[in-house]
Amino acid sequence: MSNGLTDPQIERLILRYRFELARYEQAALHTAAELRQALRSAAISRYLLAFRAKHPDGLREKLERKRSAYAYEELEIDLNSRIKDLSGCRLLAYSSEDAERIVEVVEKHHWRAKLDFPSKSFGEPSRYKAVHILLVTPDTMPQSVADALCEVQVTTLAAHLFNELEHDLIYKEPDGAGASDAEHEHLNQLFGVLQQADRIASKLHSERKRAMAHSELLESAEQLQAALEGSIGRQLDGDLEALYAILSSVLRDLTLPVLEAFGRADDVLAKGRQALEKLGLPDQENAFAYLWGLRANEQFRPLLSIIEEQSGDAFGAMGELLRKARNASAHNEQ
Amino acid sequence: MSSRKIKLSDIAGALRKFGRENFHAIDVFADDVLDWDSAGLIPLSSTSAYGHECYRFDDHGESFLLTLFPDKGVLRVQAHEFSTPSLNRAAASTALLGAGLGTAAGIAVSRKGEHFAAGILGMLIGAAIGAGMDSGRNASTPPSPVSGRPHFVFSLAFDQHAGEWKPYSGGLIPWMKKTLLADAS
Repeated sequence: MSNGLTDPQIERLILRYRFELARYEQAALHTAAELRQALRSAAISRYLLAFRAKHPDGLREKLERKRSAYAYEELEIDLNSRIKDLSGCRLLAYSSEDAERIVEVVEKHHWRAKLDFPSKSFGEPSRYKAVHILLVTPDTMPQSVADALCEVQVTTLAAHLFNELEHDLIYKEPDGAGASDAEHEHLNQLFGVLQQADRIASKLHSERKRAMAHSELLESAEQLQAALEGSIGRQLDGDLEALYAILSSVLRDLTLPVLEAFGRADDVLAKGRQALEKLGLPDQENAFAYLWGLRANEQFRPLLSIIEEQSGDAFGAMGELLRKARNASAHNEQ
Repeated sequence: MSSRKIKLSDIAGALRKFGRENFHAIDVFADDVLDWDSAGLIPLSSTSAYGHECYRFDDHGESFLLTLFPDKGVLRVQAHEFSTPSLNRAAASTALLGAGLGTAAGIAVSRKGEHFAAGILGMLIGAAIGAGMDSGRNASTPPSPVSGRPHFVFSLAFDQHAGEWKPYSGGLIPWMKKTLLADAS
């Protein structure tokens, strides 16, 4: 092992990275598509998503800045094993609550890399506010893109503005030597203002959610989620988009009172979870457990049976889960 | 306008396929229906509880009631056991039949607007939540509208290649409830 990178070694790594750039661009593109789908299923629609492969100049700057931390022999074998942000996606939420929900979805994603990767979290003393999560493109994808790491950063819009400005002034020079006193002062002022912006966005978020929970007609997955969460008193996970599609297709007036004609939401959820456990299907996400709880109703069951038998892939993974649970139920009855 | 069409027997087939024990009626857009002239529609002398023209047709040994909603561009078909055989075929006026259906089909085209490309859609109508199905079947008079009471529905799309109805899970469901259901306000 050598001690740190020399300039010629850095140039050789950059030259090689240029040939690999398309792989990391594709990995970022595919990861972004996966994230959009997962967030849509979770009824999260308010965010901005950007993705990119690291520019060769950015990689050169990083290698030069941290040259003592790397060994050329290691990077030569697999650059991505040490430099994990060659592919990157950034998700910017409008409020801290949305950011936390997004983190939850990304952390549960089946592309999550099984690596020991320290996530920077919201509110560290450094004032950098973001969560970093590593995903890895699965080996079922074309070889040119399979097994590439992609670093997903999640933060709020307000925090992003501060992170970027602080990054330019402080991060690259940890003692902040390059920044003037005036710059430090403005940065401090900005931090205070943006914290305030985050707080106000959170209040708006809560207010909006309260209003949605009382919407008469639930005309989107987001409204359904707000209504059920308002009733249950905690967050719902799972494929809320599919739950909305199913309920919307069988109930003429999809409202909370209509849903509660089948029982209080928390009772229905508990009933569904209990029934699934008996079927040997524990740990199902809330959205499906709730649907299975509704299935206990004699009027509801025939309609869900039609979906189980005849919907094909119309209701996606939720339709598949219904069929799986139905088969388990039939097996138990035999 | 879409060139794809269904027959009245396809509409009746939806009730058979998805279960008359679950659904008593189906609403479809009037312009989606093929060959009215040869469909064997018999005008009924009485109007329905909706105040609209009613027709009878038979399919696979079953009788069906067809109610026209010209202002909505929609027709509703429901299985119906007639207390007396309606033999009013002689009174059937091709001109009258054509006028009512023509109006309904024209309204359907304009109400569909840009959604005409979605294909042939249907909405099955089931029981009121917490109630049985008897309000919709075997009554001597056509059933009353169920507007205002929460009840079950089921959104469908007709698969032209397979020649059968399938559950529809797309993004047009809220629009279908507002536009395709005959008794939507």
